Amino acid sequence: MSELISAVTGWQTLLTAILAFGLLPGVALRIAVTIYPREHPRRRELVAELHAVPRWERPFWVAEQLVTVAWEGIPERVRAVRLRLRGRATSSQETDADELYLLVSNNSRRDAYITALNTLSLEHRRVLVMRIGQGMTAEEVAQQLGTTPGAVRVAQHRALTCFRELGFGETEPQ
Amino acid sequence: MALLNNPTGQHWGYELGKQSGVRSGVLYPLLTRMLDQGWLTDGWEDPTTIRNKRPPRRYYKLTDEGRLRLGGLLVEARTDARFVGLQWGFA
Repeated sequence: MSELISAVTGWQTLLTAILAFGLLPGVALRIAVTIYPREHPRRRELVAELHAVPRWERPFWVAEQLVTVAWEGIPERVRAVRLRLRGRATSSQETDADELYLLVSNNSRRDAYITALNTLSLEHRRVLVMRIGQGMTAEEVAQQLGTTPGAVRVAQHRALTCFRELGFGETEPQ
Repeated sequence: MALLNNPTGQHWGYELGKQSGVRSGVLYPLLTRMLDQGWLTDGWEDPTTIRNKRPPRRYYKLTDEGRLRLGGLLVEARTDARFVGLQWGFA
């Protein structure tokens, strides 16, 4: 009995508990979410959600997230790699900035446009530039980005909402 | 059902999973689908409102279409024998 008590209260047990319920879940989760493409919101979301999980529950919750990451993250990563290989989309901010410059080169509020666009996620920027700047249809944009026309319209709507909140009026293409 | 418990409020992923009993491996992809279909909108916590040192969390809100569609689905589910065991905690 005394051996059991000393085993439970020993420093090795304490250290194991600290690692299992303190350090390791966060480390494991941060490693796992790198499977998602760099700009994917799930990377930030899952790490932030970990802070809402009670400490005793974290190892089990993180283990569940491995399912989320496998089910969702791997296909997203594969899709992003395929798009990059096909050259249909780039993650280069310089390319986005070049297209934006062309879009607003004659506009006296160019700098403000660029600042506003940089507050959007990469996906929203791409959709706005393609739909409004280049006049592509939702179907064409969906084909370029490897997604559905419905998802393009939703992303466009959200991007324009952010833009309007920043004080830039823009009409949505039909 | 968990979303309709507070149809106009913000919902957080972890709490939704607890209320609905849906595993997070299923929940998050489901939320993404609902986002893509326009039933939900999302956003991030305002960092200035966070008291302890943690990153801003992502929240989800039902859109008008989402409320309509989910409400319709639940009305159908009431008459479906597969869901008889569920507790209907709202009007």
